[in-house]
Amino acid sequence: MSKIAIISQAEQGVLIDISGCQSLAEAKQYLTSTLQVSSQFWEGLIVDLNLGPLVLTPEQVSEIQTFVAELGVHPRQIFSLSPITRASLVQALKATELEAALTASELGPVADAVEFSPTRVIRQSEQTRSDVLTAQAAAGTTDVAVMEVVNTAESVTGTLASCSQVEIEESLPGFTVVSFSECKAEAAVPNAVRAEVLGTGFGGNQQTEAGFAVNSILPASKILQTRLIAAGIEQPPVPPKPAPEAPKPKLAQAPVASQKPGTPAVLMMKQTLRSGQHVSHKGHLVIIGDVNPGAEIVADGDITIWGALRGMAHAGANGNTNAEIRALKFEPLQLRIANAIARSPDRSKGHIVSSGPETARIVEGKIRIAASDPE
Amino acid sequence: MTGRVIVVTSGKGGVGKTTASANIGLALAASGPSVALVDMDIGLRNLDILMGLENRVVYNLVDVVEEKCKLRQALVKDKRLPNLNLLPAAQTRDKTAVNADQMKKLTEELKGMFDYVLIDSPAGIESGFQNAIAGAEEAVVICTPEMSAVRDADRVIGLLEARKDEISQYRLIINRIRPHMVKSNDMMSVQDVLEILSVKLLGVVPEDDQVIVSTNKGEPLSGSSDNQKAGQAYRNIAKRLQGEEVPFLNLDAMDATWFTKVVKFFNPARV
Amino acid sequence: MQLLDWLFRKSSDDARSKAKDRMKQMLIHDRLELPPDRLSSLEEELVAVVCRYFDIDRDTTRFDLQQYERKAALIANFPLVRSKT
Repeated sequence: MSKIAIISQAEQGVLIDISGCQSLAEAKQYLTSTLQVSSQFWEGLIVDLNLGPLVLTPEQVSEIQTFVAELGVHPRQIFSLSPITRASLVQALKATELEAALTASELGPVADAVEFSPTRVIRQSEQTRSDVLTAQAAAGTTDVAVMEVVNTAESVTGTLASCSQVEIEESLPGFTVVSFSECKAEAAVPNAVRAEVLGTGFGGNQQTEAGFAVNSILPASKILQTRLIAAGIEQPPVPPKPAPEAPKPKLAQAPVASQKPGTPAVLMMKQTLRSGQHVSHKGHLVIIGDVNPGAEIVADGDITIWGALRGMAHAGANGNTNAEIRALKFEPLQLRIANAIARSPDRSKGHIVSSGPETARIVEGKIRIAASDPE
Repeated sequence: MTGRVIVVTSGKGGVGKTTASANIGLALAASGPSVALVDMDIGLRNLDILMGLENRVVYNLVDVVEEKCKLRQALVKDKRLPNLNLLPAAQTRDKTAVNADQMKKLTEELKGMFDYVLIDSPAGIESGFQNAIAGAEEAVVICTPEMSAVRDADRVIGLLEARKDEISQYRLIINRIRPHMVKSNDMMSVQDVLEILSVKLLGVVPEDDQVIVSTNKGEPLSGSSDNQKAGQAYRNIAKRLQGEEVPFLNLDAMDATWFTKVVKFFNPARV
Repeated sequence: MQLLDWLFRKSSDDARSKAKDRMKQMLIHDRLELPPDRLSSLEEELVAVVCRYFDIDRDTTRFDLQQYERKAALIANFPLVRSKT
């Protein structure tokens, strides 16, 4: 059955594989069950969608696009095994208002694309955030400015930024297979990180020299890798420059240590971090599990927790104020991004009950926590 | 300023060291003097939770020792009393992160800043305990009226006696006394424990459900003004530490009924 | 009758007294770092020496350690019957 594949580096995003689905209805059902609970998680992440052998008409393609968009997912690339679906995708693309951005030469290779070649690249980043929580400065004995996160009665709901764009990249970026036998974490990691890593790389992006980790539990990526090898694609062609008017994806701005060869840009850990455990990483950090009170996680890049954050998380530890912390359940004792600190309210003032996936980022010098589903 | 450095220790774990440290610290500070509470239980930090300050910890004792920050930066000011400060332990390190010389240096520095430096020692008598007593001049030994706790307290008292030159005095707090059990001769009394250990008594704290409630709230009992049994006992202890003569709570007298008097008449040895 | 039993029961039977007595013995041994069999072998040797000079009443011999402040004292009591010739 299909699975969600996390394909490491944030720039390269997440592959949602529904190739196991036999019909549009099944695909939609699967997407609902997988994505609905965690739509906040996808915000800001680049997501690719693999439709597998599904045969879809242009209408159905539009339908599925609208459908995932409603769930908070905006696929950048859509893969298909079916030539009919690929044609539908092109047709659907033509129907968009930014069709003008397409050139015939860029569209050309689509028809000749081998299996799994991405037919197109779409990035729609739509940011709708509500500041449920604001940070307030409070005096402390420390020299560092300490901010208190308080629950504001009137939650500010508004669109901070809203942009929609379609980028067209070369249709056949190719793939590179990079294998790592071991994913080395920083020395400070108390428990050896045993990410049995199966590396694959989307050559379409800029850093094929940088290794990254893919969790081996994900069969989809294995299938992908196998097929790529079968297709005889070893070296990626040089990717084309994105359309000049297209702003860079937000996550690409974060400095990632992976630019150095051999350093995993994303460290993915599948375990619950308990009191006294400390994990630090030069790149982005993804924890599949809870971070309990007393545990500390520190990353130079973003921190993403597929679980509850109850301990201390420090993103952008090297001073990167664009770093973000996101978790399915936000109950941290303390949050730090770059040099800013926010602490939870005191117990006597009541507990903030996390209502769903949230993201913390620095806004105007203060740490703000925002939910993706304004209610 | 030359403050008094007092270590709170017990040998056995779970007898109420940290609770006592938090309560005595708060009661001392409430009566005026400046107080530093030092959590020496590196790796098992808890004093911050009892004080309700766990969300304010930025730096810790190990950071200070390793000179990653200044002592002033690591001190967390209490939210109730500005003259009460907490130096938290590191949670992601272990006892070997500091040594006795570093602790001596640290307590010297704290002595210059505060009237009282209360050190919450970890359980056991190994390096963590040795570091905790390294800079101490006085000791408060906590025990409960249970055989294992009394035995461990005795061991600790022996170790403190061996450092007579540094530690000028040590006194005992008997925690979790249950008067009704003493009365029914199911538990050792204060007198029994004192007779066995032959030490000076600093205080007697009765078993009190409110202790758990206060821990959950992050507000030590001694800070509230209502007449909680344990809270009153800790306030009395703070007064005795400051040299005041305060009579001990007469727990034995609490339920001396006509019936026990009858028993005494028949069998004086029993009561 | 049970009430009377309870009223006149020897005090050393209750948990409190048991704990106290056990504690005292345990701590004396702890403080002296005394191995368990050391006291009985000392007793045997002492009795052997005394027996060279006196007949003693072995039934009423007392030989134990008692606490005095935080120190221990060895109390030996050998009732003498007659001196040996």
